[in-house]
Amino acid sequence: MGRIADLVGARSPAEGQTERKAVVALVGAPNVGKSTVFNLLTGLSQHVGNWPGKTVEVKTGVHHQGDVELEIVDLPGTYSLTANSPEEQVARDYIIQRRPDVVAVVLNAANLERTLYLVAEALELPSPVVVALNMVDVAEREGMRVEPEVLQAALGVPVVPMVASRGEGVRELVDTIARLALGAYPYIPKRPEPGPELGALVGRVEDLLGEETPPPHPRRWLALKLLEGDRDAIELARANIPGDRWEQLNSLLRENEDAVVSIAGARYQWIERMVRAAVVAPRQGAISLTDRLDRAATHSLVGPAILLGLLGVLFWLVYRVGGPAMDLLDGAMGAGGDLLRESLAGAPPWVAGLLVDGVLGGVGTVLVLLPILMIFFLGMAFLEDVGYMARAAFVADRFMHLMGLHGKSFLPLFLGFGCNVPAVLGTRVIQSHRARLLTILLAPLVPCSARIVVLVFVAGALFGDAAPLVTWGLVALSLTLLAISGVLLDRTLFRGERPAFIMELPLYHLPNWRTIALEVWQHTRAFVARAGTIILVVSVLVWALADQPAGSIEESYLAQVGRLLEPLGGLMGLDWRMMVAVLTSFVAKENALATMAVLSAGGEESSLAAALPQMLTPAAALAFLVLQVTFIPCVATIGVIQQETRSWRWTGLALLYLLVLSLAMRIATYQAARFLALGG
Amino acid sequence: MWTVSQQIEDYLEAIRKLEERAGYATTSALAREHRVAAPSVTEMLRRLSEQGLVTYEQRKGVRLTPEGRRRAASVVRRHRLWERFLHDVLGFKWDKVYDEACALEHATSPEVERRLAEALGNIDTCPHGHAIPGPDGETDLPFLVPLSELKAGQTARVVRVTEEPAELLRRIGALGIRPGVNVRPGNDARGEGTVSLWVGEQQRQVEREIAAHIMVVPLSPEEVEEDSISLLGDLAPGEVGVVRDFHGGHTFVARCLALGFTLGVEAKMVQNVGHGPVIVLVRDTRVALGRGEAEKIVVTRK
Repeated sequence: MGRIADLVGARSPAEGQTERKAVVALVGAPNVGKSTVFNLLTGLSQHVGNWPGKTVEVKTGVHHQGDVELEIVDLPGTYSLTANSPEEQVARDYIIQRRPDVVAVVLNAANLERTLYLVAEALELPSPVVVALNMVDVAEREGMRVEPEVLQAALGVPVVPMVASRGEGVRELVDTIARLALGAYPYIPKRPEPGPELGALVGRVEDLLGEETPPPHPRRWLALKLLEGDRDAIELARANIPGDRWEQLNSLLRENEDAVVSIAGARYQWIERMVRAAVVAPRQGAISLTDRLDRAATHSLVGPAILLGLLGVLFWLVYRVGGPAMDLLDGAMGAGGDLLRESLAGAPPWVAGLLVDGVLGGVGTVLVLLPILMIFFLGMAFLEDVGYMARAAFVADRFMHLMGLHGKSFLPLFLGFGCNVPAVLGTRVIQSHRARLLTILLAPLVPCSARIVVLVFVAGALFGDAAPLVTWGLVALSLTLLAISGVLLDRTLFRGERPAFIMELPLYHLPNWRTIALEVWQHTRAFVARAGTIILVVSVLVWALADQPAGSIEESYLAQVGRLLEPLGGLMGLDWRMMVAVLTSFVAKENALATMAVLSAGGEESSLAAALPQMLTPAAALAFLVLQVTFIPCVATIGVIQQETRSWRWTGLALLYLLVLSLAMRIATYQAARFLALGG
Repeated sequence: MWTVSQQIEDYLEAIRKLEERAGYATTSALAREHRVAAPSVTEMLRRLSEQGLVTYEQRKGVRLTPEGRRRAASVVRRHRLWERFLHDVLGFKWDKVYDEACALEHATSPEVERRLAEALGNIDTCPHGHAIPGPDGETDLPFLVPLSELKAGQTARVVRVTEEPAELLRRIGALGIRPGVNVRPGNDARGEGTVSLWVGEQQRQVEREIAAHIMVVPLSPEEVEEDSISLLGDLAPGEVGVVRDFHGGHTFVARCLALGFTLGVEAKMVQNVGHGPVIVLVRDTRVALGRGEAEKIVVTRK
């Protein structure tokens, strides 16, 4: 159990006492402070898992209070419980199939009307519902007062007022959940009733479903979902009820295609009654802080300037704080490596090589990335928490739209200029699975700072005065490839209905540092655990290939592979040494320079600049650079692609796509450059 | 050169215009129109009458005969085609085209007239909203009333405005009034000489004298409702629309509904720069929508 849970008065159960356990599912629309509530309850005891067959994260954690142990499941934030997105599917499948003892719906008191929609849906499901009325402080600041007792009476379910950002109301929430789970609370919910016409229609669908309603689905719920056009519900009904009755049902559903609109309308009418009863002082028309801030943040000219400015600050932080920290860690790793090598003086050289160059090198790659990553995580979590992220997406949507991307894809892609790893990890802000996958596939095409270093170095050594132009041209090339790839993927692999760009712009609020800190911690931990493992394994593998069997890179397996690939290299004007440099740059793009230095210049990068013109013709150099820009991303990026897509298939596809793209591009470049008589 | 036939055409044109307004053209009105003395007008009318182009009635004034009406319509047609050409093709302001067209109309052969009409896509109104008579001289005139005579609260569509003088046209233009715009007089006029007028979402005080030069057709409540149908993406900032329908796939509709865009709900446009996404206030929440999405939600303007 974590420190944060201690703060709110959670206690370990007394010795010898039997615990009363209950499973609680936490649901809520986005921007209601659900993760703050979850973090308060579970602290650092969280475990992140995946719902089977879905790339949707489900966090679980444990909360102790008195002799009660609550297992809390944080379901994805959704506006409704229809199978419109994987998130909604996971949330409602969990509630139906796992039957949590209690479903706690978190509401935003400042936005009661819209967040109550989920309550209207949750009341149709079998588990008892508790309403956590969060952000009552924000509502009061906005001039609204909500009376929890009145809302409780109107809904017929317990309502607990909370200010989760200050830890208020948590104890009461846990008490209420425990009482409800133990059946110590009379639970008589007042469900939203559809009007007479709609009610009759729901009744007819229920009759047609009959006894064939597959358990554990409630019949009335299934009838409503069928009328709402829910694809999963339709599949379920088709598979379970006899053919002729299904035909009847299907034609009834077809006749009433618009029922979804009336059902939602009826729910909102019910909500309006609740709001009229429970809200004492309705919001005044005054211009709020959010209005004033948005005048600048979403302005068609000022908005992009603010976005770029904020990103500038983020990059400045990365270089001013992350850079030195990275150097420090790099130095420490170097010193540690020397120390380890000394202490292993007696062992066979391959042991020292494996431990120092392979293992420590791999750990170093992971560790050295951490300061930068944590700053990026912090920046993203901060912007998301204060409510700015939705504005950034709004501003960027105009450009991203062309590639079939969501406005939210802009930020992660932009982060890619620093490093592709946070770019891939940053795609978490994108809710739509399709847009997220597409963004992940495109992220490696953003030239990261390491690639730009290689670019600047090689271009400087070979192209003299034209170097800036060449560098610029190559960066422009990779961005053009990104745009083209986006358009192509959108039209082919990702064809189908684009995710609709409809997004709530939440009220701005002060950052909640606990939530941000936990977010940074979780992301960092996930990166080390998953991507870190892959990076370590690949790093050891590449070391082994570069070291064995003879202990020198010139005669290694890697060199043999490089020689094997020479015919392919020939198409691009690259000899085996350059091919090896390409292969080692897989671990980290900077490695390309080090390898070339080892193979050609006795290990000194300064003499490499002099040696390069002898190794490469300008045409070949251009091809080499094109390949550096477009070739398979570094192992860290691949690690996080696998981590985020949770699919080797997609990871492999990303690799294959980049491989084909770069192969085509570099051969085309070399042949074109030769044709243009740059010298072959 | 001021030829007799040009003079005749100008008179026919003026009589037609006055007749449209009042049913008759009086000698004094024609004198004002042509800025000449009443006796020379009387002399001209006598000649027109001799040629069988007008009939003269004591005390009332003159009316066009069928032949006079045909000749007048032909002049007006040429005049308004030229106005369209000057405005649409050459980019003249609407307060500059009248005088230029007055000179051009007389020098237009039937061949030029036909080609001009074709080049303009056989358009049927001049830039000020007046109907361009067809080649056979016929025009369908809806029931028009001057804006100054409209009752408070009655929504009407502007059909046409006066063609001159230029100064008056500039002032009408500055009010945002154009043919096709809907207007509605309020009941809080500042004084006797002014009319309080809603033009779209803007409330204006308009001088009665100006309002008399704006011809409108009153709309029935059904027509107002029909007319206010629009797409959410077409609302200007500050405008409120009531959601009426969706044009979109099932997933899209479901997402709209969950976010609170139910039928009958009011959505207020907060930001719309004409391209890119928009921001809408619905159920106390600001919601950003892509342009494509905003154009799939049907609303009626409030």
